[in-house]
Amino acid sequence: MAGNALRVCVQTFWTPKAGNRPDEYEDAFWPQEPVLERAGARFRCAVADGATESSFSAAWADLLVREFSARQPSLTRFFGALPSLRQAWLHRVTAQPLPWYAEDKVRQGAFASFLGLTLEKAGPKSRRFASWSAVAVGDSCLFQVRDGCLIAAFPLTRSEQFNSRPYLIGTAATNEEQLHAHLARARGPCEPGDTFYLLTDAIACWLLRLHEEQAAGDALAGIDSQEAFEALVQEQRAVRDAEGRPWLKNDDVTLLRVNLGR
Amino acid sequence: MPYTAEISRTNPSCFLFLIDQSGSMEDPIPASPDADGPAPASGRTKAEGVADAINRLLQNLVIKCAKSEGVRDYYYVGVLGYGGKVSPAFSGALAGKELAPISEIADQPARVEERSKKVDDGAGGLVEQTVKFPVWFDPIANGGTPMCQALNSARAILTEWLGQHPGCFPPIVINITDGESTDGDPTQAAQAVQNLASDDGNVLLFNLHLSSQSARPIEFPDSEAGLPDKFAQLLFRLSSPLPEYMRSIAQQEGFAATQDTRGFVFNADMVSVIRFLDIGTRPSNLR
Repeated sequence: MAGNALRVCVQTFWTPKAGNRPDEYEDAFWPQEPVLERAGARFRCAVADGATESSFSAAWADLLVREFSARQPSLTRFFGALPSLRQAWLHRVTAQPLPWYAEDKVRQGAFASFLGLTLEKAGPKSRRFASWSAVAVGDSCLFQVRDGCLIAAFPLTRSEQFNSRPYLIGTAATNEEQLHAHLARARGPCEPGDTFYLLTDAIACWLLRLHEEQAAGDALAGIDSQEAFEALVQEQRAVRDAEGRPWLKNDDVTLLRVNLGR
Repeated sequence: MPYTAEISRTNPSCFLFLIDQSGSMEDPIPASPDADGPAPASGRTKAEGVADAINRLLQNLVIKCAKSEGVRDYYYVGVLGYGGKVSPAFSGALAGKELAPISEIADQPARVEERSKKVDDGAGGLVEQTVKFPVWFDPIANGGTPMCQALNSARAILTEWLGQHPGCFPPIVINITDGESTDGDPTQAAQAVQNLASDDGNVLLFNLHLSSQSARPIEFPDSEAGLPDKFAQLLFRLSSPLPEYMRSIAQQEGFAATQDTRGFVFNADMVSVIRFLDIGTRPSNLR
């Protein structure tokens, strides 16, 4: 076993909705580097998907992933920090005077799904290599792949679950009990060579559907560059199913891949 | 499949409102019939009630299209008044415009009024809050009901629009009236509007009839059978069936919409006007 450090390699890929500009992309992810290698006892990363209907949701999604990944608070502290994150959001979006409709949008608030992953090296006395734990609100999803096989999906496990409107973390002061009722948590062991994908809803739904209908294992294994990622997204948005719907819904798409070193 | 085109800035859609501005719109809004006896009259005229409903709808539409960077032109919107004359009915800087992109509407209300609104105080009570109420359209009531002329103008405006936006989600025309046409049978003019089409389907024409008496509204009927008179039956026939996505919105709102359900309300009170406008303008596929 390779010492006490967990070696991870993270790759990030993103693209806005077809027809939108890159600055209109409303997902967020952390780390932000296209490729990052890290070694340590613990590693964190996250994706968030700002809701299309709200304004300034990209800023909100960004605050959530930064707080979780860069500052690495405990989960209790992370959720305890929401009121100050909400203040930070309000401060950021009202820094300039706003027209009447934007004021209205600020009052309605911004919303985002959130998925955070923590990887931890097991202690020296443990027989395990490492473990993962994840927290999610909404429909951004985590997938664990081992030897080309999908072995865990969280929090959604079937493509038809993407139809309903998910509960999202909002900037308006909410009933914290309600938020906790919609919070999903999971954990499990991981092995050297495992791959984790953190995906926003459109591509998560696509991956689950491929898995269900074509028993595809790791359909994203071949993505090794931003160009390859964009080509796949473009191609899959154009492919229609029997009902005439695109295989990949036109939405912002984010893919964060974490490979565990052997 | 029709009525599935994506509504985007490169492929926007269009709403056109035809507003009856005849003299009878000066009449007060009748009280809604209620199980507990007649409700008190509101003291407002039908023209004022419709103006409020249209202004609120425009406000909601702007907010729906507002994003962090500004308002996205998902829609072009027109308001055509018909009474003493048939003409575009925006007030202020947009006066005379047949159709305006929603971003222009957002930036150019005739004025922004302040109105008070009762909101939940979070402790089981209500508090009064001042809200901004942008106004684009003012109440007018005089003259007859030249519905044929209004429908002909709508056809001309939309023919030009469709020439420029052949692949758009089909325009939706909502005609709000409190009485019978005074310039002839509107059947042909209405059909000519409904015969216009984009690659994604025919133009939808919905009719919203305002009550002059305190009568229960008939919302989203699916046959002429239960309608009280020839005029109601005529308006039913002039109304387009709801496309599938809108049927499911109507069902979510508690209406028993069937394949034959049409976009039509007879004897509408203000509650059903607002509900109808909400259902009729909710987007199917906004990017």
